[in-house]
Amino acid sequence: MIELKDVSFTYESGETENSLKHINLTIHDGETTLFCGESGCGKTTLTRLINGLIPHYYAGKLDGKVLLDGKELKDYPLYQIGQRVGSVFQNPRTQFYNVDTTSEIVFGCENMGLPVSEMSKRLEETTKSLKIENLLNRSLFALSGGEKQKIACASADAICPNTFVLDEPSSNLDISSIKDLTEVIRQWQSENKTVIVAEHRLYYLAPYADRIIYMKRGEICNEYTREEFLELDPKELKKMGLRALNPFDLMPEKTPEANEKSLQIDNFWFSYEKRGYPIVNIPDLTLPQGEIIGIIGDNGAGKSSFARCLCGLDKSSKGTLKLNGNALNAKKRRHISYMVMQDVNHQLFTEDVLDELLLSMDGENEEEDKVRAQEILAGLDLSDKLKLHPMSLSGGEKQRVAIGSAVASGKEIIIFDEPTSGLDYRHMLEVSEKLIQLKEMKKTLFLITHDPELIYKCCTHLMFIEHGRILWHRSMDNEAVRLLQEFFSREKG
Amino acid sequence: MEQLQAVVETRSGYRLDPRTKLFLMAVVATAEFLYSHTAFMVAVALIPFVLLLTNRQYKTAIIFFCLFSAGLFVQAIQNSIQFHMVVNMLVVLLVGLVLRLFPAFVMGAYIIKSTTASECITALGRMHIGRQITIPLSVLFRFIPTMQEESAAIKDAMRMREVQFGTKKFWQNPAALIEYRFIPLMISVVKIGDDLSAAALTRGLDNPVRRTNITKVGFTGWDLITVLIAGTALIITYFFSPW
Repeated sequence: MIELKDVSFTYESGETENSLKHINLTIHDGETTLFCGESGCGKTTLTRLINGLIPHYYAGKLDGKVLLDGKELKDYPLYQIGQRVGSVFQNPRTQFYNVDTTSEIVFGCENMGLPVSEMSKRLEETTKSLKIENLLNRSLFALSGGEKQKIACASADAICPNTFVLDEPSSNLDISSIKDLTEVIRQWQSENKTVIVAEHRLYYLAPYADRIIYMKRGEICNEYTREEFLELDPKELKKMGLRALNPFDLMPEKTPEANEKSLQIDNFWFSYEKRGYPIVNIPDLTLPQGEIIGIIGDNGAGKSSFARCLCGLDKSSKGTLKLNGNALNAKKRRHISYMVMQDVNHQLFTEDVLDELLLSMDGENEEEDKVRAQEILAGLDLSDKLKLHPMSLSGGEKQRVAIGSAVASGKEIIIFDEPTSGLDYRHMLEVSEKLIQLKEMKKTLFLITHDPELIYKCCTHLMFIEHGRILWHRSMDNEAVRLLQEFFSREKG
Repeated sequence: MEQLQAVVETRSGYRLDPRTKLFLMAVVATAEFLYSHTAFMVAVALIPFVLLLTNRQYKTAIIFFCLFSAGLFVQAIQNSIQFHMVVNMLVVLLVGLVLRLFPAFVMGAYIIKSTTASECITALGRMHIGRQITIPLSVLFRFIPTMQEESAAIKDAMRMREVQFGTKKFWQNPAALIEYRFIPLMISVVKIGDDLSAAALTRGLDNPVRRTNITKVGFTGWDLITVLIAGTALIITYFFSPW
């Protein structure tokens, strides 16, 4: 049993975001509790209280008591808490300590000093119950995000704790990996474990949760049973800032316009090895200009590789793109295209936001550039952030600075790689508004995403990639919606 | 179950204790600076070469083999051909680099690829090296591939924004290029390190009990055989050179 008695917490930095105020809560053994709420509502902070990272790792001001089976957690060292509470975190890339999967799964057991025979037994049990036989003894760096997340779950499972705490575990996963994650959680439920999940995406877990706790500004705002929660009106959910419970069957909100201008792809071809199996193989494709084109397909189908080809990032990629009568090879495509990466931290270089945009301009006339950069930033609601360091901004603001630098450099094709991973409803809406704004500036946008809500919100065209080929592409009409839903239901399994 | 069998199978067979690897590294690094006959240099180079083969790092092994042979060849014909002075200097430098430093580099490549982070912590623990050293060291193992991934992503981002060598922007401030490359890298490495430590601590990394290891860490016959063969080869070639 986990009890929180009048718990308040503020991080060392003193920010009010993510802090908690007077939380009273009891979680019984074997219960599955889902915490939801907008970003910054404190749900992640709450998970950290339960797995002991607060106060043992993240410092701050803590009042009240956090009790696990009647014992106060702050009196026990982390390694003892870790044997009772297993944790899975948001980012699959940054939570493994080893380089190979098997060592990672037994890492916790090794730290506990378990004898090898016991460890092998646990490895076998975990492997079996989480169905990860095919992942054993592989390099973690060669796994997909979904597979890494499974290993993280297995690593927590091998310790055999009674409670599992998951902090936004689906953020970086695609739909079929989320299905696998659901199965892992179902497995834990069947073993009568206590499962605590903080999450934005609700559709996969709400049908299995015993309680759903809605948090707002560091307080528990409302508590629902599963039945109550599933009955909630979609409009009500939006008002609460929550993601849809059934994101797959929405209606497209944007209709394509009649558009004569097109861009043409000729013989796109890319493979890791000479004459090897092609990762991208598109002999001929005509797409409309000035639309938001959603790229969908399974994991590893070649979506990212296609995007890299389009940007001209892979020198060995072959083929041309015809745009406004110019045939562009890979090198020339780099002048007209830009990718907003999933981890936007990789593409911000300078010391302040204004410089970031100036870096993308030609620098012929500095005064003129400055005026234009300020205009662009104003359009992105960043006027008050001109002199701040890009790294001090929030995730969404960073993303907007990256968009700004693409606009500043006059690029015509902008590709977004998972721009809404881990975002709540409001921030997702913000991103989709920016995308639509770019479309109105006549940019052609490509959108790689697993987020159905975002697709319905802003895509006007869809293309489906499988084995590096385009199986179909069409405007967002009824048939496209049907095909899209077919794809979703296959992914959901 | 079959999968588990497979794991055990690949884990048995030839493997060295991390301590033996470090010892051999020290031997190679010292030996390659002892001026001696070609045979001795070949014997030194053979140690990492054979180890690479045992770890199936064929590509690295072949590259090393080719470079080292080329180095020996150039050294052999060096005196019979008159190069221009500058060229000669370069050649001597390069040959020296390949013959005298590469064996240690390649040995390093072998150690990093063949040792898992957790083996490394356990083995160093057995050498009574404190956790304040073993933990950062094992994190380093984990970080090298991560840094490569991050660095590649940053390089892509720079190319996409045409921040690169030779552009007009570059000539205005060449040093900025290094800054742009390293600052995002440092920031993301710090962030990753932070997340990583939190995750590792929830898995009990700071547990003071004696750590165990699923791969048995400890000396086996292989360690003895390897050290004996390497040692004999080095001694014979050093003192009784056939050439």
